[in-house]
Amino acid sequence: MPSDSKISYFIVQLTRATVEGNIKWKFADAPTSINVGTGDVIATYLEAEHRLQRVALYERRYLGYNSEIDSAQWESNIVLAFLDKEDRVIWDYHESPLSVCNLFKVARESAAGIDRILDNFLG
Amino acid sequence: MHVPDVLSWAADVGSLLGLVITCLVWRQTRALKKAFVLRARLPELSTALRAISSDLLKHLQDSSPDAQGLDAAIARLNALLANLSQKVDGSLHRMIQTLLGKSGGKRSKLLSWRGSGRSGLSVEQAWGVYGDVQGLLEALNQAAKDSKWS
Repeated sequence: MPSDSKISYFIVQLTRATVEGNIKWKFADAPTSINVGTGDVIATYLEAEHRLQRVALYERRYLGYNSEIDSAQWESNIVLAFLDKEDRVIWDYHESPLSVCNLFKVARESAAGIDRILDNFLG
Repeated sequence: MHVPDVLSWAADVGSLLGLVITCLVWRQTRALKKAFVLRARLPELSTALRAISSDLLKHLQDSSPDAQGLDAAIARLNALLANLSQKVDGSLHRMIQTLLGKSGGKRSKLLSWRGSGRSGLSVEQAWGVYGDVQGLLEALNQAAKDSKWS
């Protein structure tokens, strides 16, 4: 199991590669290994290839139990995962520290081409 | 040994013991005060640090590097770290001091005055600071969880 510091370093490197345009994210449908057989909703699924490795980043919405109001409530987290060629998840990271949320935000903006969209509106 | 001598010796020993106990109580009170202040302020400081971290990334993301925006974010980060540094001990304190060293927050007042407040960090260094802030946020998160149990 990789150490937290190694994962944290990798996430920052991935964020930097995304910001500098060295990695291209694209929207896609989540593979069956992620969205079949669970009650989760995959709201946004992004995928990229970085150094010959498929990297996925997705927002997972799920029903969680809130003990304060004693009822089920929708929650969400961002998951970072590695996939192999057969769409199998070979590693995933379900913690959602700020670094992963920030990575998701810049990856989504990059895939959407938000700068180009805004330039079109303003241009 | 006469009785008055014994009493005088006992009074001296008692005074010294009293001093030691006073020091121990003072130390304990200080630690308790620090722990309570930390428990009360930690969530607020973590939220502020998260906001600065996102702001830092926003400026790093800018295709035309906005030096002033980046400097402002680094200056706010340094102010927050200096405040946080007084409230924590041990590894967290060391982590913050290292980060302050990287972000230019330890620069002497004379140098910062002559540099008219510019952090002067390169993009490479700013990415290093961004990475370390993520590590600090995780450490603060764990410290907040620990403080609920202690």
